[in-house]
Amino acid sequence: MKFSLSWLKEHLNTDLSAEQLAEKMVTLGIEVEGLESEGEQFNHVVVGHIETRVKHEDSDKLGVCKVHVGEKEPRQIVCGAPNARDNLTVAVALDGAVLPGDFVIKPTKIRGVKSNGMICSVRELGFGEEHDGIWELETDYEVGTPLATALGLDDVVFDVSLTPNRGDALCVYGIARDLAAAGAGTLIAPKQLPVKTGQKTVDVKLEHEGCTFFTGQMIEGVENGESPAWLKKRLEQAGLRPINTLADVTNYMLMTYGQPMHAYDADKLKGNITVAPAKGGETLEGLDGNTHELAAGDIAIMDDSGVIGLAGIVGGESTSVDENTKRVFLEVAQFNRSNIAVTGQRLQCNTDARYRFERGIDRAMTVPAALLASELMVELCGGTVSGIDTFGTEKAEQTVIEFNPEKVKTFGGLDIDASEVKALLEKLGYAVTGANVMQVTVPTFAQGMENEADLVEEVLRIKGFDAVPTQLPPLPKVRVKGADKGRNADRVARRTLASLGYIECINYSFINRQKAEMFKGDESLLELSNPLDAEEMSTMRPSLIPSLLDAAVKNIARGEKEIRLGEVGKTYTEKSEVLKAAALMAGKAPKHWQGDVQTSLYDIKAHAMAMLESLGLDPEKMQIYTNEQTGFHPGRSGQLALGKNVFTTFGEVHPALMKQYGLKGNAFMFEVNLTLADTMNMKKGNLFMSPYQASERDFAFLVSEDVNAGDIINTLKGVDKDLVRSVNLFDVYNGEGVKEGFKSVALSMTLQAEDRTLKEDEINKVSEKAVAAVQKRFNAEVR
Amino acid sequence: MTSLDQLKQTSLDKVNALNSLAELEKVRVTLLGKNGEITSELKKLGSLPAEERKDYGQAVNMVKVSVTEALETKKEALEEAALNAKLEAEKLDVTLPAAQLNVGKMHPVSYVIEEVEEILSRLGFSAATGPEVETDFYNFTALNIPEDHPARQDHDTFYLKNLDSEGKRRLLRTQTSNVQIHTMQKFEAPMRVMSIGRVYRNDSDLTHTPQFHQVEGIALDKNLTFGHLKGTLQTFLEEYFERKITMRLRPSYFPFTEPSAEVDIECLFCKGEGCRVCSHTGWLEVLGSGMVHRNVLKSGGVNPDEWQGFAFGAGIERLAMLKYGINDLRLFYESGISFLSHFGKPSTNMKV
Ligand SMILES: [Zn+2]
Repeated sequence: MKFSLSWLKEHLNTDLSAEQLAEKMVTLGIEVEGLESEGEQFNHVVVGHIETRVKHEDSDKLGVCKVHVGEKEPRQIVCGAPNARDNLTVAVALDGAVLPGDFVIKPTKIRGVKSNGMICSVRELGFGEEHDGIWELETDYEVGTPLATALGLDDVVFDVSLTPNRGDALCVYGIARDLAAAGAGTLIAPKQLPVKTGQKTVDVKLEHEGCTFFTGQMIEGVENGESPAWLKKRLEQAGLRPINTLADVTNYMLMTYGQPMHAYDADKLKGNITVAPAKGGETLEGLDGNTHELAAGDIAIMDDSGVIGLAGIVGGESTSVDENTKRVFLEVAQFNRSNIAVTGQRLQCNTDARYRFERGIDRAMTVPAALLASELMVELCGGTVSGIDTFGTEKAEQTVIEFNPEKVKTFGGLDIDASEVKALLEKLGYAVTGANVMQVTVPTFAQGMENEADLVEEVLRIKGFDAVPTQLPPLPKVRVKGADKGRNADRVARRTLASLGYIECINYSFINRQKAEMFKGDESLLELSNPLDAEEMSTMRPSLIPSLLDAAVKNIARGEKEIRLGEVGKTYTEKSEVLKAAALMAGKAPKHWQGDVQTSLYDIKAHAMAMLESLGLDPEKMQIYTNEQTGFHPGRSGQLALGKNVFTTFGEVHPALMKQYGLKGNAFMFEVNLTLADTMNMKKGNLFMSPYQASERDFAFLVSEDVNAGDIINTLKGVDKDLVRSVNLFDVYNGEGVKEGFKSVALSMTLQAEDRTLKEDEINKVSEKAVAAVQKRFNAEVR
Repeated sequence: MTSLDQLKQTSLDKVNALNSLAELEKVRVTLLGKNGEITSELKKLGSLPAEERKDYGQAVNMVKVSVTEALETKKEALEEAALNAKLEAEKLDVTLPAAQLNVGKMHPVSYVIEEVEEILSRLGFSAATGPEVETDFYNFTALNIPEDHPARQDHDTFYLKNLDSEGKRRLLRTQTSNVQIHTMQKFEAPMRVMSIGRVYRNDSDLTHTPQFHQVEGIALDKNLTFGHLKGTLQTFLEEYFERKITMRLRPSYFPFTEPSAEVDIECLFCKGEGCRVCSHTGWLEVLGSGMVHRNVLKSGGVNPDEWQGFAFGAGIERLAMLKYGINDLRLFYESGISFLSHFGKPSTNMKV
């Protein structure tokens, strides 16, 4: 909302400057977004008087002037204008002035003569195009007066923004009232006009419960046209476009007192007016230039021709005032805020009237504003007012809040006397009775005041939030435990990804539908009904993998060669939100003089296992499943699981998926279910430490190619759980010397006892058992 | 010159002429071995007259001692030379590029979340989490934002096509405040809880992304006041920005708090003089806050006549941008490796 200082000062007696008032507004909760001085381009430009002009010694065109600018001595200014002459009032730019084109004025020398300022033309000041010579001012202002003042351009325009609870301050008068309460001046009350009952030339029937009070005034014999300059200027300063005087007066009154109103051309009205629920389907050509279709229940203003206005939102074209209007019917009424909100939102129709009704108007202001408006119309357009007709009843009941003034201290943290609390509330327009427990009557303009906290806020607001002492509360005696489901896994996963060499990225939770479809499994996807991008951001992602692949593609397009990206975030399906972590290795490490780094399935496997271990799980104790998983190479991927609980899928990205995304080479990825990992509690085995010597035995087996190495390792580990400490597979070979369809697997087994050094025959016994077990289970040959 | 003197001289000459440790061993054997030249002189003692033995024995021994010493000295010199030669031969160019090590980085949002959590945790707040896909009730109604409230329009909510199991409309949470209600319903007052996470608004331009992160704190107890809110925020901001902070609270409006305050800090970049970052106001808006509205307490099943407290919230990206000098919000969600490597931090370099 914009308004000027001079407008505000019609309602507030104050000595404060615009800046001081703006500062005060901020502490009151009126956000000042802008403060624009009208004559800003005239800073350091003053009214001056050329006393004498003599010719410059070195120039035919230049003159040297003695110019009075309100200082003790006149200044010497060199000037080339042909009209510069003795005894002339002019505009003088002094040091520090910045003229259009960022031209900074400072003392200088022109052809050896000192020149202290500049006598300006109209164009040089950016005030017009005239450039025939210097500006010859006709003004009564004394020399030295700022030019802006002399030109009547010293007004300041405030641009303020108000929160939805501040319906009371959505007008100039309301702002003045708040400032006055905070001691920034005294409020000038609006003129009280006598109420004269009218003739009901136009009768109004109220048939919608959303309209309980309606006033009408008939003004006959008006002469409508362009508004006077002062009114146009006010509206323009407020960012409104002047239309014609009658319409302008309604806007002016809305901006001044916050009371929306509407002027009908009475000669265009067909019969009487009814305010009733719309049936639905009616249309209105609105003054906003749009055709609005009404829905059942909207508050419609109707005459015999049909709908002529949408109550509290927008008037209709068919009955609007124009330059030919002779008779005006002025409507000033009260409409229910939620009706207005629902209709306005549906029609996406944003008007100043709707804005104010939605945030609440001053219920006691309707009649006074109506009278002030008709008076101004008559003053500007002539004519006579028949009087004011009222329909329905003005809602008179006011909220009373029982208020313990101690609350300002015990809730607001500000220690002040009850008497001061009372005085502050009264300044704000509240009526207060009682002392220890006050009965506080809320003024008609205050919106949403319901309880003690509201009143505490009012007191703190006027005192200033800065007045409340800053105090650190003592630590709580109890802490909430167990509300942070998934939080620890989330943090651990992010750190682990980084420690494994991944760059953590954060992608959008909504992705392309087709990409999501692929990874949804047996679940249903969640879809946005109003996506920001219907193509690429329509569906909640069921997996992190599509996001990482997209991120890889983007980075490669930007010239990145090696991609190691990770993400931790939720995945979404109809049934659940699951926290996951995922990582992707793609592209190629730059060539290195020691030889290129190759990544393989076993790198990603190591990373997936490290992630599980970081999460407190023991991947060594898990099963490895190898059934085919979406997006993964069927022969180069696996899952780590405990029974039905699958913690991670890892492996090479399926070549078809690589092609779909336009990625080259091999890529590897894993995805870990953190929500599941967080619920697991895997017990650690007992600590094993032994001072006795460990022994190693190496074996080489020839087995069929499809035997899983992991199964051989597990077989060896199972031979003697007390003595076999670890099994290390150190070679797999299927080249020369190994028959077709077979591979040679070499392992070393470490044996160690807790209580003794193992004897040779003990070791041999376990070794023999191990060999026998592998032979039997895998039909292996010992090499 | 006696023959012994001659032996000594020739022996020393031999030792001095040595160039390698292998030759040195050979020479040692020819001189001092079992049948070495000096050893042989000692063997002669037996054939000498008794009165000469002592003197001759001593003389031979002196030769032996000096040759042995010479051999030792030579050996040390040769060993040192050999080591020097080996070191010289093994020299590597340390300026050659090191082996490739992938240094992973945490996203600025992640480490700022950790910093914020750590500070709030010290102030007594426990972490809480909640769903991102929500119902109207938890995101709006329970937070004192009824259906026709003007504040709903400011939220640019993303709605879902899918209804929940009870047939209710679902949406993506527009604020982390939904966690307040879930937590109040599950736990008893007094409580101090923070929730941090992703939130969504259907808005995208230079200063808005459709997804961002919020941190929110709520404290409920018997006697918490607006002054305690100020104290908590002052401490939080000073710890987070690691400097003295000038803070300003402005009356504002949030449906879920009463009184409500916007929290500004004096611009960190221009110290209040006015600059581009603070839009020449000298102030930076960093937090929203207030005393929890009694309707919100009721929604959470907390008796508003018994408990009172405060709540506050801030945008993580905003906090990250101000502290770490990131000037484009959209970079957070572009997954660019150059941006993330530059502003990301290794997991071993966390403040906390
Ligand atoms: Zn600044």
